[in-house]
Amino acid sequence: MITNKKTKAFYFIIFLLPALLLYGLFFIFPLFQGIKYSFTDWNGIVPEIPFNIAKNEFENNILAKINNPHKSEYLLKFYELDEPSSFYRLSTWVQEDKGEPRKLTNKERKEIKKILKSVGITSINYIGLDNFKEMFKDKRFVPRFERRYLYNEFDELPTVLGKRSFKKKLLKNITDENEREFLLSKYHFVKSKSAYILDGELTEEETTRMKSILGDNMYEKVFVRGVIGFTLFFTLYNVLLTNLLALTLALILDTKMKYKNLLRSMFFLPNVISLIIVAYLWSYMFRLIFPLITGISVWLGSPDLAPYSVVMVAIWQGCGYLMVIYLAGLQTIPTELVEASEVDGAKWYQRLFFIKFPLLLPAFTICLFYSLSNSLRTFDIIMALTQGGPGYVTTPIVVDIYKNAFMQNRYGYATAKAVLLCLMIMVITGTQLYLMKRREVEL
Amino acid sequence: MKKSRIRYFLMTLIIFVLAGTFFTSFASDKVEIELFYYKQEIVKQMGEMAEAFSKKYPNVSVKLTLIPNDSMTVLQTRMAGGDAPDIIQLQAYSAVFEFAKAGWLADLTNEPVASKVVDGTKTSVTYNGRMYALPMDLAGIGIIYNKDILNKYNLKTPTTFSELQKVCSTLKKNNITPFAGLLKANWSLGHFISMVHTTLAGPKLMPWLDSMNKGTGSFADPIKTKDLFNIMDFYKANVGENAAEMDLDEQQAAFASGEAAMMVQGLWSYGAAIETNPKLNCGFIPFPCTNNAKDAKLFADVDSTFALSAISSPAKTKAAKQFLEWLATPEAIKIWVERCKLVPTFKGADVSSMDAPFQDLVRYMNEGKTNPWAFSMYPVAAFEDACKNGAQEYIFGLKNANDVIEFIDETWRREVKQ
Repeated sequence: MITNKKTKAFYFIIFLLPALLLYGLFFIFPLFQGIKYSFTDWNGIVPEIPFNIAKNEFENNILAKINNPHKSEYLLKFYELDEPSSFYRLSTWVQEDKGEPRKLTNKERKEIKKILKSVGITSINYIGLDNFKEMFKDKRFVPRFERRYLYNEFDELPTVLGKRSFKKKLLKNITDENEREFLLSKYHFVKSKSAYILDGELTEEETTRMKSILGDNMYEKVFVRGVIGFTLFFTLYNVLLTNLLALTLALILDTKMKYKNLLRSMFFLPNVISLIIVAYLWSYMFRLIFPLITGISVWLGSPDLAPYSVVMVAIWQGCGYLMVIYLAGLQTIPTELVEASEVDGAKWYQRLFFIKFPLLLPAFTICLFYSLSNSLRTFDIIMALTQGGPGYVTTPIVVDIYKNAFMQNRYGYATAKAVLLCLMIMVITGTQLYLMKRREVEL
Repeated sequence: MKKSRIRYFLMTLIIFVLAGTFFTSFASDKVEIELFYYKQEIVKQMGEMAEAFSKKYPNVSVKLTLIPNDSMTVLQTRMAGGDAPDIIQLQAYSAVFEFAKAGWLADLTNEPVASKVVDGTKTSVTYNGRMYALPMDLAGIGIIYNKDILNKYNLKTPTTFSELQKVCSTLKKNNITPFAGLLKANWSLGHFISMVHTTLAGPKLMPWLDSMNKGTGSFADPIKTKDLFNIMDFYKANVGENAAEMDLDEQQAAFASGEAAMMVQGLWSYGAAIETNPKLNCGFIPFPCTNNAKDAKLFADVDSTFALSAISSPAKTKAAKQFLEWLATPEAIKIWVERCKLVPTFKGADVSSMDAPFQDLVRYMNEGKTNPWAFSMYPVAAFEDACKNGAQEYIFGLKNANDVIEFIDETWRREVKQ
């Protein structure tokens, strides 16, 4: 259809321009604002222009430094001295000669901010890259090897220690020759039990010494995922397993089986239910049903099992959606192709790998992209299931950001983490898209 | 022709939508003030209060906004946009102090209602010598216990740590879980570690807080580390097998059903428990941390406060102040006590109609046997992050005692430095 210029302009103004404006307003602007805040130590509470300024500071640091009398007059018009607290307070409601009092306008706010800025008063301090530096020093944020101490100085001395753990987790760690000797003089190896046994009475002094030796030296090195580590762990398992399961389900449901429509809706159902209900449902299952089936009594509360439990729920919840995409992809494959290969004598796995999979590549691209970006910024399901606990064991970056910003009042720091996450998502999904699109073109 | 008609139709539609957004509010003499609160257990009751107030002051209506779990998130987001509710329910201490410091709260020192609250509660809302909120309710954290179960096994209510140990071992022998646990959510453990720490520190608490805020102290200074973590271990050993999986609801359910004899909780949990099982016969005692019965003080303090926004319009501020004044009237106190089941802070308030655990709380208060909620005086991140997560990591065996103390110290120093 040929449209004239006028119509084009009309539709541009009516539909495209608002979309562009909204895009700028709700995406571009917050993005840059976020990057700006990531360089500050803002706590999320302090307003843009200070409401209260101490009397001394106001008179000596601000009024004295402003040369222009108009500007100081302007400030004094809005800041009023509150005698009892000796603070200058910003009056956000202005009483003009007549009528209702009105609110401070944006223009006036900007002007006040400008004047205050000219004498070096800003409510938000820029601290450069400090936020980013601190992030990587944070023990609970980056993955690392950590010593986990096995003996608590406050406990009684263990009387029996297994041979292997004694050698590997204790003896190896002691560097001081005297301490080693002392330890071996009290703990003797008993062959029949293949363990080291504490024999003989210890004086009080010896007990204290022994306790401190054990307390300092009995440890093993464990890998602690940290927040970033957990995010990547979650992403890896979630992307692989969700896609695998979704693909399998799609292949099964693509056959000519009975009740396939019913099954399709059943598998898709978890995606429809509200996440909070999903979380309730699963914490109920984990608490009451799983222990009966497996014999393991604690799931979400266990530091070792909680990460896997969370992944499990995420897979259950997410695979239905991907299944639908795969199904759609499978149904676009022309039946002639499959039938022709069947006539040519291709086995089922050959048909799968050489006919179906290559033609499914666009679906793969979409599903991988979707699940990758979704798992990297997972939040709701974990917040509802474990709140990131126990400790930091199931805290992905977004939950950490949320806690930093709103529970600990460290807005600037949290924004810096958000910027990092944004970069991470862009790099990872960008690489994935680039690689897969190239494959698609080759075909 | 047809096309252009559609075009005009679209244009007018858009103009109407835009115009509609501009002219939504009509001026009237009625003032509507917004009350922002987070206590989800008093939803119905707040409605009653607002109604009763509007009856007395017909030209003021109160709009209630309830944000239960993320009240601070919502509040901060709104304030970042330059908007604040007229009356804000805030937690005492840090929350009040931070908003007062940033200038969001109106000074209430010279309001007549300020003189009507009990003097001891004013420290929780006083920043730089000025009062920035009205303390509203007292709450205590301690042991809520089931009197019937303890009587059944001839157990005295414990006043010392060794007595508590005996009670727990007897209960265990009879297959009753001593404490209904709540380890899954970290806040309860945060309260616990702070409660034990404060009780053990005793009179050293305030000097220690000073040294911490100067950046020189350590969490381990006023106490014997061993005592603190012994009690943590003791608690862990007595909360029952499933505690790691339990949340607030499950804790209340276990206590209400008599599966467990006690729970270490704030009195806010009592309401839900009594609703589940109205026959419950409960008492409230401090958690004894030492073997000296005199050290056992209830961990009780001001819980919620009402503050006024400093940026509301003069008319709304006036109405909001009327509301605060009204709260101190017998009519309002009656609703507060009988319907909300909260312990009021106003002088001479009548609390005789409250249940036994509340009476216990008031008795401890009157006898002066209470410790302040020290955690409310910690820097926000030191409590929210280090205490809560540190205590949980210790209980789950992820970190040892020294790690926890180091975590708290480091966080505290960082917060003080800023």
